[in-house]
Amino acid sequence: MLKKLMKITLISMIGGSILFAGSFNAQAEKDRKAFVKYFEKKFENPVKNQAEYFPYVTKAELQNKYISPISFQGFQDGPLSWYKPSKEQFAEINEFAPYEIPLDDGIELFNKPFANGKSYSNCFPDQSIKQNFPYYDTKRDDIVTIGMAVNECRVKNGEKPLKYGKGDLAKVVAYIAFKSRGQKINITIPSENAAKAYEAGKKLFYKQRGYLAISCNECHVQSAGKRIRAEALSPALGGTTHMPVYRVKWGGLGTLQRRLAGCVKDTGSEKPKMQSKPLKELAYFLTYMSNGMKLNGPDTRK
Amino acid sequence: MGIKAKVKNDIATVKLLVKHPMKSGKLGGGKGESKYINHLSVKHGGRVVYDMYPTSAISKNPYIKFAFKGAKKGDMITVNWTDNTGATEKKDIKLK
Amino acid sequence: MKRRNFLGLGFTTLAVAALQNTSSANILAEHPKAFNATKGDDAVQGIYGTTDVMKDDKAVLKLPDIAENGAAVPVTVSTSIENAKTMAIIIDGNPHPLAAAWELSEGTIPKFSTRIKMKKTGNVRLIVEDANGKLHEAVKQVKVTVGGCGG
Repeated sequence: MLKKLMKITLISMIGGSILFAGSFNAQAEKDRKAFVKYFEKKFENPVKNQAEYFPYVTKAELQNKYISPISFQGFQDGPLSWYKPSKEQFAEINEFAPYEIPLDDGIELFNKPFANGKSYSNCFPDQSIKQNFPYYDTKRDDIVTIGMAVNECRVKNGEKPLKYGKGDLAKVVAYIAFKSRGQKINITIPSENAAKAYEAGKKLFYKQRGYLAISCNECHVQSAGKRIRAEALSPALGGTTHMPVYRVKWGGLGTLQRRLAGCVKDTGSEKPKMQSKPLKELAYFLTYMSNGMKLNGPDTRK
Repeated sequence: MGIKAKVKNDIATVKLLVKHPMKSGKLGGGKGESKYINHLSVKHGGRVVYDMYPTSAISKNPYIKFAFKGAKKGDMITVNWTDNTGATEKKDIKLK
Repeated sequence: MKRRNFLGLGFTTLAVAALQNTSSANILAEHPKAFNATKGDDAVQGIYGTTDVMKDDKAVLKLPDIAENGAAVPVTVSTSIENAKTMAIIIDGNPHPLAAAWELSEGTIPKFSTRIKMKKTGNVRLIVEDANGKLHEAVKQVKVTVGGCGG
């Protein structure tokens, strides 16, 4: 009888908490579904919908250089998801991807024991975890990114934290990303404060700022599928699946935050510091928008 | 050195990704270090099957792809490179 | 004596292949004109002693129209010529246009891929030297932009 009572209590608690969690991501889910719908519709038939979405692109280019329709999972390739010439060039480069070398280093770093004899495996016995990052830690009321988790593992084991964004940290993250390939992004919003963080990230995404008075949205939603000179603008949907990214420009790997911070700087705002609140909130929002998409990092970009 | 080498019928296709900075030495106002592979060759059964003379105009961590006839699964090939500072690397590879 | 320089190159190659530890200083010492040439035609002259080329379809050059990033442009060079002797890539817009050269061997399929650095928009040329020492050329213009986005 007591067992049955406990079972019922447990089930109602779990049920309650699911409902509880559900109520915090109600708005985010609305946003996400609208986001996905917009992109799927935009790239459904560029030639047919030229007037609505691509008024300044020639019909010839739409017919010859655009990939359509793009499936939901297809957006995981960023600018390569819609622009054929880019897709083909990177397919050629990825015959032996440049990221293989830093990824190799990452595997070595991950398996190398710390001074105390333990290694990253003690913190991450299962490396297929990147789909859960960044997550909102309700205990400390903060967003935890994969980079932070790696460094917290180091500090816990008496090692110095690594510099964020690139270098050895990006290599370790690359290994975790590699092991998480195919997993579907699963960002949750477990509390009211988490929902607030999501909203803050969303606000940043849509805010026009910097000396160019431009928002992320203008290039990566409204102008996704268009070009700024030779830059094929990537859709924000699927923007985080292939991190960390090997950029030929960097000659090495970079994390999501490195990429975002660089773009924020390029659009005329002060470059945000790694793991700063606004940057984490932006990453949190952006990754949530790609919930359900399969991870495919690390990957190669220009 | 990353290696992808396979044999189909009697043709071996070899892809290499060689870890090397391939620096021209022109960055930093010409005071940078010049270090690039200037010879890379591959031998199979005593004969040269690939003989390349790169310069610093070959991208960092050079990607090399070539194919040759007369190969069997299980055969060994040897990759040898030298750079303009005298550094060398030699690697024996088994064809799958 | 169009092949003179490359003959020396060939000899040095055999020596390197046999010893497997000889530096290739000989090639650079023998062909400073080619490897240090600052003009594409001078590089060709330096290797082959001539700039006479046949622009036919026997030299095949595969490159993108627009490079995603000039630091790593994927390229595939090939030729339908049997028993071709050498191949060379000339990047006219580079400070030193001779980007790479190959000595071809029997049994090797004359089709190679690599990634090249291009300083700016310009022509990339493939020179193929046939068994008679005649040169065949393929040219392709590749656009290179300075990437704007993302830090």
